[in-house]
Amino acid sequence: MEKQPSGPVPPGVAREQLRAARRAHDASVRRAIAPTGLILALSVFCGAQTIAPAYKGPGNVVTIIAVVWFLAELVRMSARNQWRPLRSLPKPKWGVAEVTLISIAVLVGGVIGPHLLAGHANSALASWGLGGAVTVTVATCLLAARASYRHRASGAWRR
Amino acid sequence: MATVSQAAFDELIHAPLRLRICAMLSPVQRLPFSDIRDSLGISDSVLSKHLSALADAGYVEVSRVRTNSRSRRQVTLTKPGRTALRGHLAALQEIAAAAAPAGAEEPPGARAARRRRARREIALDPRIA
Repeated sequence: MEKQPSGPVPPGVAREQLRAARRAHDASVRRAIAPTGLILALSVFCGAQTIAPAYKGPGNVVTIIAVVWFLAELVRMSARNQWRPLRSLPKPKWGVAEVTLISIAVLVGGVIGPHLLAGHANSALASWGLGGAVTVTVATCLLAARASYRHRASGAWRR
Repeated sequence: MATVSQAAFDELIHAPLRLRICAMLSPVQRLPFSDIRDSLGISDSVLSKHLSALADAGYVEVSRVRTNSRSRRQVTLTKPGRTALRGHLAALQEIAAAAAPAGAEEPPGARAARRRRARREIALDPRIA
């Protein structure tokens, strides 16, 4: 038994409209959001910059793996965008939380890690530990920014 | 943000294509005209007509951006547009929720409790015992 509709449109139509609009909205979010693989590759690259050169392994293996992974993710994104230039991907509408988290990630991955923590005097264990910590921090911040954007974008659909 | 919102049914946004256009634009800064057209599978003229209606109400802005000597139209959902979309979505959700089956709001276990109570009443009724 259904209650009487309380609006100017029948409930079935309202539900169908909501479903169609939600699909369009989700497709937009999927295109705008940075993929997890790209974030993780970037985080590993930042972490690798923190490891002292003596312990990176032959030919800076970690950095090379991270760069190849990052490029592969870019190619995958481009394929998903039907080989159109990546700049044609829609830009997400960031909020304060996302901007703050991304700024922290950039600061830790680009400045604090490679410039302040990386040092020839570090032991192998300390060096890899710091690199790992930077990787985890950058990944956490970027994934949190991604989740925050997703959560905020779908806010109007939660009642 | 979705402050459990001031539901306001908006006749202008309610047209299915316009609602989808606004929904597509809401999570991003702007979208190229061609992306919206391709996603919705409609012609340029139909999309132009809907965008004009939304632009007249101040819900979207259509701007031209020059890239590689080509001019591309970019569509942005404005602040009043976002507010109207949120209100309209809230109104639609209210309509959809009002039509939910009457038993749907019953907390879990309520039926079993009712059945137990009925059995007890029957057991205590001297006419039945």
